[in-house]
Amino acid sequence: MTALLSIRDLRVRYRRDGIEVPALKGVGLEVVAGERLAIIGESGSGKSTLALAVAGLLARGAEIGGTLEWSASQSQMPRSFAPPSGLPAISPARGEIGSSADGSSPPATLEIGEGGDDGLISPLAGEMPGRAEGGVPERRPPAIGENQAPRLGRDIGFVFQDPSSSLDPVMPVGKQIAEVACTHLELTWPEAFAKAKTLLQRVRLPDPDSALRAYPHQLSGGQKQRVAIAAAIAAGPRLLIADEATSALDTIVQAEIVALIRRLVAEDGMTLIFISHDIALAASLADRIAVLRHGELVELGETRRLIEAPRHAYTRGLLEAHLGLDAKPLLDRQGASA
Amino acid sequence: MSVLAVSSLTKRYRRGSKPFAAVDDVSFEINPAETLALAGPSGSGKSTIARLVLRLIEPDAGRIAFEGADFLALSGAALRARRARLQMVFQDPLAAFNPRATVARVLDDPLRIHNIATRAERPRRIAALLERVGLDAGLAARAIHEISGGQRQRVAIARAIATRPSLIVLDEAVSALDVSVRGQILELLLDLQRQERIAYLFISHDLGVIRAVAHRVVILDAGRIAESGDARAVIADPQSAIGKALVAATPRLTRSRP
Ligand SMILES: Nc1ncnc2c1ncn2[C@@H]1O[C@H](COP(=O)(O)OP(=O)(O)OP(=O)(O)O)[C@@H](O)[C@H]1O
Ligand SMILES: Nc1ncnc2c1ncn2[C@@H]1O[C@H](COP(=O)(O)OP(=O)(O)O)[C@@H](O)[C@H]1O
Ligand SMILES: [Mg+2]
Ligand SMILES: [Mg+2]
Repeated sequence: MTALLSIRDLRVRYRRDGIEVPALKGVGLEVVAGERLAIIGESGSGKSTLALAVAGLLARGAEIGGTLEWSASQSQMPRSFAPPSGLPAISPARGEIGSSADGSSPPATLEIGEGGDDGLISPLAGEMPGRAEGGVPERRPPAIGENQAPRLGRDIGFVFQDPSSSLDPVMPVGKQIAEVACTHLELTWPEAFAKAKTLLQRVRLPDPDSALRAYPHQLSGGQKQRVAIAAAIAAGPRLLIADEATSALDTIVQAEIVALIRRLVAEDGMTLIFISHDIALAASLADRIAVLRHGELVELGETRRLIEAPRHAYTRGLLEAHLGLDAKPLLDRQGASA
Repeated sequence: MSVLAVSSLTKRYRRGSKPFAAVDDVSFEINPAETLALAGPSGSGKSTIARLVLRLIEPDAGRIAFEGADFLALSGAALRARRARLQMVFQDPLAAFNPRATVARVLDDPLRIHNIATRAERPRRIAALLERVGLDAGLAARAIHEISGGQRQRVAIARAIATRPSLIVLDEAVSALDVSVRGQILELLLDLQRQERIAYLFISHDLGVIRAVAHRVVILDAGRIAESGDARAVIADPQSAIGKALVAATPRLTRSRP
């Protein structure tokens, strides 16, 4: 088990009308390279905050503490340095950092703090090569040696709940996908455009040729989400984060998109963080499930174990509240009938 | 006698320049104290049926009998009086209410509009309604945007029952709620149904929820009824292609993973 990403003691606070809202209160977990990890919890539990922190997308007013460690040798190297085989180099185990004999780079660790204005003290302060100094609030891991900190788009693909929010309404979708490929893969425009077409085929958009020229409003919700996924994976990221990516879709389209994500992640060997409020949906896709509640990680475990033998009362509560097709109808529990 | 009988209901819209039927020859009945669910993929016509039944839009063809009366023929005072007996709860109560309005104001409106209580009686009625839906009477002074989503949905239900309706149309009314809150709201709806014999037209894309609370289900596909029947029987053994697809797509906790 190699960690692609180690999250340690992650704390995030938002400031709203002068009031501090703690959104994450010291969350720690390792995202294993190649795994499908689901993060579940009720609304406001901090799922999106966790995803945004990892992707470096937190809102300006947010205060971050703790460490995010991205295993650099797992990340895609710039083309000029890419191993010819395309196989990722094995990451040095934690603790062997800096002593790796194979010349692979040490993990990019970000230790985040807000210029020392309050108690968000980072344990690794001072050990941080190239750490951003001063009071400039960093919203994402600063690069430690330009190519090692994860970059959104190149190393991390992000799919939002509302595909419209990540798509430009006035640009054909082919161009939007090609731009991602162009930016991160140093392709020529014709190459990037050809790549966009391949991606639209991979996400199974009917008639990719005309889809390339379509505008977002001409597509259904499910089709827009396919385009957003194509754009997210365009640069071949190691990590794909899907934040409630199917929650706005109907059940049938949701199942299609989940199947699509499952296939793409397997084909490209991506690591997946799948965020959902639906424990059954999470269980249908994930190898492991992390349960968040009020900004804290209450339970993390292998999917089957967590579903069949939840350790935390809160997880049990979520399981009991799930209304599955085999659950006892509430109508019967109440003894009511028409 | 049924509370609601809809027959051959049809509503046409245009898609581009081509006309199409969003609701196409749909017929069903709902009995007192019964829950009829409408299920179907996005765009199958569920909300359009809800809007037709509520007379927020007019059909191109078909009939709607509500409490035995020809609902489409009513107008003026007769329509207003009948409307009090037909209420609605939608997915997003924030969108339905002015967010700055207080809870008391939201509940005061139906009592006033339908002459259900005098001005002097209303505060007491509002407190009773809040209690009926499991909310603290102290919430009355709070603004709609200052309460949680679950509390808001309870307020929406309190508002709906204020006029003692025989039918409530619920369009994805629990879809945005956390599962724990969702369970409580569903229990509340069932409790109200038992006590006050309210019928529900319950729209949801979630077959698990439908199976938990509905007596019967109508499954729609492209505006037409694909199949209908006892909710549990249909969901256990769907006959239509769309019914089968909906059941297959519903995530299952017990599913063995590949
Ligand atoms: N005012 C309108 N003008 C044109 N077309 C409309 C209008 N209202 C609805 N439609 C179309 O009618 C069809 C049915 O829409 P409706 O909102 O009833 O679907 P639904 O079953 O409620 O879907 P969802 O599950 O997404 O809420 C859709 O194709 C929709 O685009
Ligand atoms: N931009 C923001 N400004 C202020 N508070 C926020 C912001 N984003 C999220 N929050 C708050 O942080 C907490 C966690 O939110 P979020 O991460 O969005 O939870 P989830 O995705 O699990 O629903 C909530 O209390 C939420 O209200
Ligand atoms: Mg969220
Ligand atoms: Mg609808």
